[in-house]
Amino acid sequence: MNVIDIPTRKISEFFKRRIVQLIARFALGGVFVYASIEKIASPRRFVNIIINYHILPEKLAIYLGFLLPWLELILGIFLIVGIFVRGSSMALSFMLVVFLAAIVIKSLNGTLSTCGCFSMSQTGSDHGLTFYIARDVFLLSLGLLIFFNQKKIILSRN
Amino acid sequence: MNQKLIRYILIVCAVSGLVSAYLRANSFISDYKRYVEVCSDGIAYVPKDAKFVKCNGIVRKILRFEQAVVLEVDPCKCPKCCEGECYVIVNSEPSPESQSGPVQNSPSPADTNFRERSDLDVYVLWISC
Repeated sequence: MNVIDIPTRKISEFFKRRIVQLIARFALGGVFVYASIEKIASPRRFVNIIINYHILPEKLAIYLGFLLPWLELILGIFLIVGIFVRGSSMALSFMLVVFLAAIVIKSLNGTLSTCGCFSMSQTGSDHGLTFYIARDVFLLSLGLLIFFNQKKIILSRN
Repeated sequence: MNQKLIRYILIVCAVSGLVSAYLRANSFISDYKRYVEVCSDGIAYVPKDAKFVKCNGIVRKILRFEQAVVLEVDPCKCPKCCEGECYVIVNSEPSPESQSGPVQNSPSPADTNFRERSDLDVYVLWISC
């Protein structure tokens, strides 16, 4: 047995623990539910923020501005309640990768004043690119942790 | 409560939420096409009863029309933002109190192209940002 195998296995077992999975699900689900509420309440502002990224065509940006907050809410609730956990964590991880790419693109263009992730305020934000990347990578790691360590639930027919 | 029932309720709520969001997006798109772009080159015509305009494609709420005055410094001209508002110069119908004497160039009922009319006033339009 390789010496490196022992801590790796311990870490792997730690992540598979039910309590760790539960905390990760509640944290990621809670963040997305919280993030969705203000966007659902004021979709016009969120549409403006997406248009301001200048990545998508206007029509697509409008559809995304209205539908994305609902997806965040639904997937977040699914994670918290514990249904479609693997699918929800995969979808949220994919969304986080897209958000990360959008933030980096906007930052490279030099126009990152607000990311529109939580607050709909369009005034300048104190957070820099590093903060946004660190936050999204942390949330992405939670999503992948849930996806790869979630045991498949097989419903008994008995 | 039965776990399956909770699952079905959540799925129904999710589907109805997404459908309602899609319908709202559709109605927003039809409104969006009607909004006047005010931040492009030239002076746009904005009717006095308009509630929203577009500035560089972004929908902005109209706050107020003000009679145009010569501004020596324009720190708040869009896209610069001053405490949640900025201004653009637009054309609109003259307000009744600003008209003195008989109305000149009274539009005929057939005259529907307001942009071509010479009786429009220049306004400072304050919009949200």
